[in-house]
Amino acid sequence: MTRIIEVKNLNKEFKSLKRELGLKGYFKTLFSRDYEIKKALNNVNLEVNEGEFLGIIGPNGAGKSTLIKILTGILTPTSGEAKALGMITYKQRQKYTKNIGVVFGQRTQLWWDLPALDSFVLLKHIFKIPEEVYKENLDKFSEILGLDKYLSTPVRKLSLGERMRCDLAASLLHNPKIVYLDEPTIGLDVEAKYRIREFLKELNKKGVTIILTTHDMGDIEELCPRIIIIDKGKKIFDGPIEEIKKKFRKERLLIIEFHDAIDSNELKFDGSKLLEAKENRVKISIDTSKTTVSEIAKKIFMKYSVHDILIEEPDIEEIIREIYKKGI
Amino acid sequence: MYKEIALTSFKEEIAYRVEFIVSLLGAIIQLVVFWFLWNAIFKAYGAETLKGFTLPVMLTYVSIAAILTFYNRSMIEYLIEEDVKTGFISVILTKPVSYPIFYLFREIGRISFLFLTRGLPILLFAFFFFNISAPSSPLFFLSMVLGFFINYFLIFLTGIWSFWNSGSIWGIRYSRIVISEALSGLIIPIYLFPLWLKDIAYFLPFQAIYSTPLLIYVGKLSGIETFNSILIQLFWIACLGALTAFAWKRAEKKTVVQGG
Repeated sequence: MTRIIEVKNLNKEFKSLKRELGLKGYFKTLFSRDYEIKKALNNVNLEVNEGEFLGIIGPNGAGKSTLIKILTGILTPTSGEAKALGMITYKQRQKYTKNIGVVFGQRTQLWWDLPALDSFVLLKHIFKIPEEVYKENLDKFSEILGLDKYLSTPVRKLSLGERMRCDLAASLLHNPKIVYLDEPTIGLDVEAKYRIREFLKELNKKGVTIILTTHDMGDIEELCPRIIIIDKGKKIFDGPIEEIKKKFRKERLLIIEFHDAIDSNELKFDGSKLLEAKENRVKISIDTSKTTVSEIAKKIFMKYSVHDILIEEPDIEEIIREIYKKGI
Repeated sequence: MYKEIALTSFKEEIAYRVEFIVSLLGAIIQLVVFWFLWNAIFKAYGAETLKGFTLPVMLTYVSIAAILTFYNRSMIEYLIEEDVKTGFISVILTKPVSYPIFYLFREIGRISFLFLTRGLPILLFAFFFFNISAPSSPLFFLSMVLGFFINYFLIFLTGIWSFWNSGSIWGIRYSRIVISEALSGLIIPIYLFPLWLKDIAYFLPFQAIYSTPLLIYVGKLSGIETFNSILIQLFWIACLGALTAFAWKRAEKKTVVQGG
């Protein structure tokens, strides 16, 4: 396999003006300027092979977008290096961008007052896409993403889901080798999400390398065999999603509904932790390395009258939330 | 590719139909007002010529100025500010196209559209009602194109200010419009300025955008004067072009260091 992206010891610091509150502080900043340095990326290393589908997750402000921006060449790191397709992304930007497709979920690259088709034609010329390739891609994308109904409507009149699908098509017309997607499914309905996911799977099968950031664990579970987790600018996990599940599978969730309201303070046992308590419904997490589910259940059954009981493995969303809170 | 940028910009202009009718009407009303104004001035002055201008020449001058004024009304500063504010600048930077050149061709598309759909009707109106004459030298067209470039660099430079001070572009654009209207000969020919103001105007780029092509059109410049004026236009293109390239490098650097 060929290595397509190589990131070495990447650091990015942002300088921002420190401002004190109030009128006095305002005048103070007029004369003396104190800067605050914020580390957005802290010694990040990353290698991606051709044809991979990599998911990047992390809480808001963790540094995901900063990483994507450096990888797409529109931001220079403070130190370290980001190489893709054999080019230093931010130094050979004009040449490099011919080979990549970029979608920023919260922004559009389409001309607001014109139908998407007009933007497509312009992109065809900007990327110098041969007529046959352009035609073939447009037909293919229209079919899979269901675009044909609104290709000739001004973009400002499209819904978010429709616009997003057009944006996705727009950034892929030139057959890019690497595709960067920064939260492409943000705010989309189930149907639009489904279409986009199917489309991305198809694209990845053809050998296109895809880098995706998202907050939607559905995207991650369905699309990305490998994920990295970024928190406070550091890469804290890199590997298959299964690994995370395995690591946290020692935990079980016990959801119990009682006949009557109970005092949840009494529900304390060794190796278990009360997560939620609402009148007669509680959620308990059980560490299976210290005790067993049946042991805890037995104790509860003996003491209370139980109406319903449910045992669950924690889902990925819960695991991730836990990781964001406590680290790996 | 550049032709397509201009064409897309052209198409975008077509999308605003109401604005089209209103602004055409506005331009014609303004011309009529100028007609009354200059008629009154010449009557009050009591002579056939005013600093070398006869009434028909003056009316030709203001009619052509009404078309060239489209340069001055450019919205590019707003568009650039919008790109900075919304972060759209990042999206453009991920495309293999140069930002100043992208906007140059957008402006070419817009101006072509305006000349065709508004300039032509104004020209016809002026031709039938004011009896204006044809350009006295084909060099007018060259000078007009050079003026376009000087103006483009100027508006791109004012627009690029948003990279450092986003949110203040309204005032900057307005000042740019007023100053270039006052000091360029767009409303009153520079010939009629008091001497000291004339001197100031000659040292600024604005007269090279408007006054030069207008004076060539009405035949107020001799052969050697025409030649010199066009040289001055080229001089401004070189200066402002270099300044634009430099300022854009700085703006680009700021964006890729601090994030869009």
